[in-house]
Amino acid sequence: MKKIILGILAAGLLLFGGCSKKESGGTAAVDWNKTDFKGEQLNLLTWEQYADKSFVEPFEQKYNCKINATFFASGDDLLAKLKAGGGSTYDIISPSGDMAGYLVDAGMLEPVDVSHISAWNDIPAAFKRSDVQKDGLVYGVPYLWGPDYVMYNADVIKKPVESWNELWDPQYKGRLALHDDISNIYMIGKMLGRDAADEQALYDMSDADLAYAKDKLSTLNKSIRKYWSTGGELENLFMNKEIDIAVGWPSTLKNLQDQGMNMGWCIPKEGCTGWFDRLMIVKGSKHIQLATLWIDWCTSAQGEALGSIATTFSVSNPKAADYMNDDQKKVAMVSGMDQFFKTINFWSYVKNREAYNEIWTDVKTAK
Amino acid sequence: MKYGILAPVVIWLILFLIIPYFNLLMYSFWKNGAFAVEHVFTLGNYTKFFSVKRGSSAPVWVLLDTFRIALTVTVCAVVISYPLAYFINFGIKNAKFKKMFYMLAIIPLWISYVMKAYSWTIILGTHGLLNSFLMWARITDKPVGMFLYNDFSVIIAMVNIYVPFVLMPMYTSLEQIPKNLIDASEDLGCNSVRTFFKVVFPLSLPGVITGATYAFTLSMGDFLAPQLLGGATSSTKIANIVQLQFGTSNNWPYGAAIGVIILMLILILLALTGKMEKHFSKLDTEGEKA
Repeated sequence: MKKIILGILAAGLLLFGGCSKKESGGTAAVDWNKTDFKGEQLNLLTWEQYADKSFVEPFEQKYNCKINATFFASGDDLLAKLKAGGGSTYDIISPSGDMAGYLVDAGMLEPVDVSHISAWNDIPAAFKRSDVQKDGLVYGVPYLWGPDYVMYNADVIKKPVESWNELWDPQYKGRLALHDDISNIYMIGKMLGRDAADEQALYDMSDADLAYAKDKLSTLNKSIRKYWSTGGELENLFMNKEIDIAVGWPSTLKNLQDQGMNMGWCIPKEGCTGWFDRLMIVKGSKHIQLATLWIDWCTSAQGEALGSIATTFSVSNPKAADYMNDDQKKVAMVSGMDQFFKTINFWSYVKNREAYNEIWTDVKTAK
Repeated sequence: MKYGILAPVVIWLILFLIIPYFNLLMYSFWKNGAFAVEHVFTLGNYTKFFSVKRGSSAPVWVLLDTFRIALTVTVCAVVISYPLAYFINFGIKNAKFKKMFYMLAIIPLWISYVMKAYSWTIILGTHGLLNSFLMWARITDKPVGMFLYNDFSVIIAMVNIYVPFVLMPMYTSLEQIPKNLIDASEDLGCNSVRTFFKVVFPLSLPGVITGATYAFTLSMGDFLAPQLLGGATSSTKIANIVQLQFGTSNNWPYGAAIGVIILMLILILLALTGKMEKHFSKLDTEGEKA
């Protein structure tokens, strides 16, 4: 018996030893012209929209590699998955502004060598935000972005929606869906106009404002049919006619329109918040070269165009326009994108995230 | 050497039971820092759980709400399973059919949980099967929204999912009742109703208790059904709050503390039902002696 146990232990040690040996493998000089990554796998941890085969397959073919995608449903979900998996499980992440700065500060990223990102100089300076730069190193490359806006079934709601306040209209009782996320609290801050002087104010709201947001959102509960957690879930809610109106993303709107639904949308007059996604490499990633090539491809004119066409999100590389038709450019608001970029208050890292999260749980358990 | 054969079991228990529970207990007394857990002793996680906040439910109220749901699910599952188990055992004489019916009742266990939960959205939805039927039968003229995305749909899905777990121990305990006891009861002049309440039901109680315990503990810990089928304020049960702490809220120590509290509750419950089961099994043997 003892022998068996010893055997098991020895086998375990060998296993662990084997692993650690692999990890500490030396870094040979990198050949950036290499195109054959046979047997290598690149693991993405992304929003569900960012693994469309229209841009995944060309990359897989060009570099003879395999791309695996795991999806996250919110910034916090990303963090939880990243903490559990880390660089041995994921190579690339695409956080929005609410998490990006935190990940940089927490030291969970590898810097990106922008000399190998061919589109770097085409990306407007305003897009290269300081929250993902530290000690002269760049940790995130601007990718796609867009608004959190109001969308509705135009067959049911004939009058265009103009203000966030209309969500509280009793006529939508039981017909409304919101994202199961603290971004609803930003929305209340936006309605209060708290960001008039300082954009960041929405992400550092006072206790009084947070209490107000809790009460205000709690009164919305009776109108809520469901809090959605993925774009796909929201799509189903609209398709099954469970809801008529929601706060959501342009990609969902596009999918619903593709399926023949008559949808309306608006950015309410108070303005809106939105997300701005950067591509990043996870600390300890074992495929840094391939990851860098992936970022290079995704942010290239063609890569961003394909991403935008698949999602209707806006681009950060203006040259993507060369690969899009007029319709696609219009949907993604490529012309005048600098102006559009300025109208959105992009999610930023919330220092007191725990308080925001607690307020959000309180709203969902309000009696 | 004699105990050597126990070694794999002991190693298993230490690795997958004792260490994890000990870990959970340790975490529940640690502090949540900005970037990582700080190994500083605190009771804060426990006091936080019981503190009441204005205008919303303290977690302890969510726990009680979950308790209520779990109890409802348990009662429904027992009420549905018992007649079914009774019917399969006593109603069907042919052994082959008996086996077939039992399998039919158990088959839902082989279907994925998520699929069962989602199926209910198709049945209970605004334009789902149930509403189509009600409108066809002219019971309503407009689809009814109240079937889905509230406690009702959460309970219905859980009952559906947990009935097989309740049925199995019930069936087993009914099956083990010696037929001659029932014959004797009838020979001594009891009608079938009296035989049921005097003989069959008391002897099947251990199975009922085991089944009910399964249903209760499983629905206490269920976070998927509320998340998929719950509405605005019915989608957050105690297990969802625990899940939140390990996921979005990223407060492992607090999540661990809630976990410990639920664990304690369940252990107390198991001790009670274990005692009850023993009590009724004792009745069994006494009955046989008499």
